[in-house]
Amino acid sequence: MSVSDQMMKGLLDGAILGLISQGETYGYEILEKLKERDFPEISDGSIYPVLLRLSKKGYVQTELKKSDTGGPKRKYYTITAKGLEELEVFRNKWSYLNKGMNNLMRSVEDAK
Amino acid sequence: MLSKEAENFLLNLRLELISRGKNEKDIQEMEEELRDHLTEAEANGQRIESITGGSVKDYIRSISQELPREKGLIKNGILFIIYMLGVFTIPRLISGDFELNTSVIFYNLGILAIGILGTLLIVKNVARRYGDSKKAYIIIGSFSMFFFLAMVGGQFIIRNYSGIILAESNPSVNLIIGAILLSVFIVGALIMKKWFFAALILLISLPEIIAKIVTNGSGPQNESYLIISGIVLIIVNIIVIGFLIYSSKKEDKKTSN
Repeated sequence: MSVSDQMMKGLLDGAILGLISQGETYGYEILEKLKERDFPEISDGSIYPVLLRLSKKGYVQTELKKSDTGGPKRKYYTITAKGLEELEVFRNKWSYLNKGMNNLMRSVEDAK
Repeated sequence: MLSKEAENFLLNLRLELISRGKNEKDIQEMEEELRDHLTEAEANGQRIESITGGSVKDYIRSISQELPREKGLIKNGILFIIYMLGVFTIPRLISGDFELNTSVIFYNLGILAIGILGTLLIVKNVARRYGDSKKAYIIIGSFSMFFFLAMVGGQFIIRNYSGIILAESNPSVNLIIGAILLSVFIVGALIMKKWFFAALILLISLPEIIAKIVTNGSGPQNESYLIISGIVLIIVNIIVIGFLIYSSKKEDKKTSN
């Protein structure tokens, strides 16, 4: 797995947790919201392993409800208190990382 | 309704996760979630590649990594193998026609290996390649036929070439051992609340028990014994197949609600 792939994998967990914190949602809707916000280069299915991971760690809870389209039962996700704590940690880390990376990349640009 | 390609993908996913020993409830939930996603994606004109990112195999692996293994998988696997050995030997012990020799041991090990591992491997690979198609059913059907013939052929071989005899055949000792083992298996299965397995081993042994009682303790050398046990075996088969069809239909109904 390349460095950028690993980076994307880590960021996707935080991005999805952030989306779920905004209200109850389900897989396809999460994907649509990620695309709306221009989250780059993810295959549609890559969110499901992440959702499983978040669920396993107790950051989100799930509920199966009948779909309004008459299709199969739909799994809805909501964030837990533990998930909110984790999201706060992620946000802080991201702020530091973002600031540091921007500074570093600017210096790379300047050197050119 | 989903496309054939999407249905094949879900079938592949299910078989792959089962073969990796994942929990049945988790597999069901994952399948339902992906089914919901694919229904919506296909309605919006997207294809299966949008889910898998190109490689079905890699995608299934990434899902599999996040799902926990079924608890007690090894313990249940060992119990199942012991149970199958009981299924193979107890009826023959009751009939009095059992002799412990190297051929019997190799035969049982071979049947277990081909029956469990072989079936799993064939079904998984055929489903991956051909999905839910006529060709898949023909290949799996042919394999089952081959397996059945191998069992019959194996029986012929072990009856004629016993190899090294480890314990001599003695009808009355066999009957006592068979009856004790049958009771142990039934009580054990009932303690573990596996009433289906308790009933199944009793039903499988029933042809020999009934034939033994009706013919006043004769063995398979007696023609009446063979006829009676044959008829009871057919009835037992009908009961077991009927029950499996009934419970599978009941399960389908439960899932669709």
